[in-house]
Amino acid sequence: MKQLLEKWGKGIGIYLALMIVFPFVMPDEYYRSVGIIIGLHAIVTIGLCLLMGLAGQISLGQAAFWGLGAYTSAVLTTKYGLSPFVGLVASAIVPGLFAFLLGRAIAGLQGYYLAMATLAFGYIVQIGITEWEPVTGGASGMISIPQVPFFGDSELSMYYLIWAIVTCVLVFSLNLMHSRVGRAFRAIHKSEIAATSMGVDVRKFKLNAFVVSGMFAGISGGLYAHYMGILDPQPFGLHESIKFLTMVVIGGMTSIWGALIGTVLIGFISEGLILLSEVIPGLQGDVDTIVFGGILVLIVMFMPEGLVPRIRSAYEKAQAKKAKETAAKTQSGERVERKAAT
Amino acid sequence: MTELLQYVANGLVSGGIYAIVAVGFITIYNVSKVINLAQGEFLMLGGMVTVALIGMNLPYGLAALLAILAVTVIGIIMQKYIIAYVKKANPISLIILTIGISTLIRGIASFIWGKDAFSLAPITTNEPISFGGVTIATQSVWILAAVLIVLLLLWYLMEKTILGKKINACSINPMAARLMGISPTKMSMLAFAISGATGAIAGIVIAPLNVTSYDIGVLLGIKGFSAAILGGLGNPLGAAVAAFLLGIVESLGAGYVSSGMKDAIAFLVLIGMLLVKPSGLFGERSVGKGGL
Amino acid sequence: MTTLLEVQELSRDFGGVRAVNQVNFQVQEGEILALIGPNGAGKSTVLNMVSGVIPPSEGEIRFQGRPMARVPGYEYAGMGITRTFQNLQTFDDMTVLENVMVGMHTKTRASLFACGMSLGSAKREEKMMEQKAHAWLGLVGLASESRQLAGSLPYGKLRLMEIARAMVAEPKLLLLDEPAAGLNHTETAEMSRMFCDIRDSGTAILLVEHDMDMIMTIADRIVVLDQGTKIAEGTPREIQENPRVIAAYLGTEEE
Repeated sequence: MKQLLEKWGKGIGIYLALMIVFPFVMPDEYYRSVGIIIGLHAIVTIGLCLLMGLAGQISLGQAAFWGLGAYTSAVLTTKYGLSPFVGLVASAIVPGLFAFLLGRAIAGLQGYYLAMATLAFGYIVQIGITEWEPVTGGASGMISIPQVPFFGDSELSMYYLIWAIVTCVLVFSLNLMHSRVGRAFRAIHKSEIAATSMGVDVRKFKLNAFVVSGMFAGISGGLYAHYMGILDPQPFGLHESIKFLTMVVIGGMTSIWGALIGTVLIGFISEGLILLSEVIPGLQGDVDTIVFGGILVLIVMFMPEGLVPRIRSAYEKAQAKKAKETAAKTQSGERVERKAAT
Repeated sequence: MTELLQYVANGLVSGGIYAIVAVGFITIYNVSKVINLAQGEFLMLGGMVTVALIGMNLPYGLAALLAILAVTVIGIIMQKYIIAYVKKANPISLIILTIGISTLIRGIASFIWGKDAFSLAPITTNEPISFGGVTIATQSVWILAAVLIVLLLLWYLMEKTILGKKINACSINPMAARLMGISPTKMSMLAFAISGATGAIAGIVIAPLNVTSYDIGVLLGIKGFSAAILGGLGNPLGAAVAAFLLGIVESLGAGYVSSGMKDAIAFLVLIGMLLVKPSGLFGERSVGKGGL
Repeated sequence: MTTLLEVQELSRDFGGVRAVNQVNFQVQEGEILALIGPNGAGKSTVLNMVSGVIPPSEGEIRFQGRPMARVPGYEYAGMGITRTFQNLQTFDDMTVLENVMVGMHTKTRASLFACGMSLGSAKREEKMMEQKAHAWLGLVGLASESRQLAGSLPYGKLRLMEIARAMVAEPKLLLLDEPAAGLNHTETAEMSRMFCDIRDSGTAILLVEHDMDMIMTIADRIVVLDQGTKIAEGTPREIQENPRVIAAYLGTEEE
């Protein structure tokens, strides 16, 4: 923890403060539930960011892993009476297994092929859930899924439970990013040939990225099922996958913080749109679809690196300017040192 | 036996539509190396715009013609103002971009027309035709005719005209084509126009058979793409054949297994196909001296 | 002296064109072998085959007596073969230090879980990697740039970074693809000295290079390729006097 504070001191501090304070700034139950949903989405998008931004593997079927997690835990607890904790563990394992099988099969694919394969996978899962009626309740879904017990059903305790998990996932991912595994992911993204020549088993690491992102999505799905108490297959389709994609892209694919910030941003935009549609009666259809589509197009056209990296590089440029003046003085000294070392 | 023939006939009809989508994908891919994931939206727009124009009391033929024109223009705009703008983008960005465009179009469509399904009157009659126990809608005959005409025209354009030769030149070697005074950007725009027009035609002819709504494009797009991969990306003839096969397999699956699983079958075929063909065959990775 | 790398009857076709034709040579332990030849002689193709990037069409490559045909590309580094690239393959969005740390991938074992949880074992490895990477960056003269993004470095420094990245893996054989391209005279001289140090520390080098000054000063032996075929092999002195080599070079010098 101490090391963590050193590395991302300010960021983690601000994050923790905002996260803890939010339910009291917005004491309304409704906003707490919005906070919960954003947290659930953030778990998925951080995983997607590991897969897409770090390892460079696109997934247009992330909502399917989310749905697999949700239904795994819901079925185990509702039909078989298992404890929600067992359900939650299974909700990480089952999507992880699916991700492993899918990833094993398609780890050799690139670009469009991967995009289409994951898109197709997403559809198959959604269709499978809808069609497997005896277990999943089909299109009409499931009801009375038990809550996670010892937190009761207060929105506030659920909020903190979810965000505690978000924090774990965030820290895990940040650690990972700055480790040999994270660097291997990033190396694959940039050049598979170079990564291979340095001993990175490209297929294996792609598969790892797939499984981790699938498990994160699954955990989030399991929590979602227990939080909502009801489930139907509708939210686990392409629309949601694209929403996840938008969150990661707007924040900046290569940044874990970007995924988190993008998720919060899109979460609030979605809420704003809902409010807007209450005010303007003529709004019909999926206004959010227009917004997400528009954001994706505009980001790729004008800010492909995303918000967080853009802001960071602007900040670094300003810092570099400042540093330049001080560096000019010390540099001459350093040069002598280097000569002595070699 | 009649049942089997019936399924095959149904499969041929949907296969024809997939064929048009697949050929649309390939036309654009060959020229610009972009997979236009918004291809399916062209079909949706073709059907929906026609329905909307007929709603404004325009005659059927004129409405259809205007719809085709409108979608063609949308295709051109897409290429000129969006795709051409990010020419140097990496594949992931291009995927996100075309997915974004498709999402945007779908959103706008749902905004304008709502989420309801619309129906379009058949071109001639509702009366089905029957041959020895196999019944097909008259519209299906129109669909197959339209598909064949579109495919033949495209083949003629690509193989027998100067314009087609120019397009081919761009796909084989854009640099050399440019030196010969052919503009790859223009050819790419033309490819988007062709895909838009053929997509719109397909969208119009299938609308009477099923209903049409803002979200029919996604499924048609993926199935067309499956066919394009199945037939070997870059090979229009192979893609058309694969599309018909896919349509038939799907129809048989829906008939003998479960109609709810119909879409899943197409996707299983896609994933299966992607597995069987090793990634090396897809030729995206360059090897040798130039590749490093 | 023992043979480290043995290349036998190595050929490679690209779409019907024979880029490399039945080439034979050996790299001994502790030597610098230079592979030279006019443009298009197939030098880089040989290097790509030896490093496992592309498979040979015919022929065999043995490393320490082991046939490499069935060894997957990612195992080469662990076995002791690392390389640099002619058209740099750097990870631009990582810092220079991180780039070099990727080079130590095969020297570390921490699992994804250990890395994410930042377990003790992962942290120890991380520290070890950092130290070694720093040491190598110091040796190639990039110590002060270690925290910069690789993408912001000039060409010449990236070449040095690639060498550090290849060397942290402690290879037995280092493959260099035109390391001096685009460097000035002083930089080339410094690099030559570094290669000699590397050789003296026990790593053999297979070097593809155009800079004749560098080759003649540091190479122990030279293999000359012309149009995919080996036309000569010998010490720098022998090569300089070889009429076939002179003819091959004069023929292309006029281009």
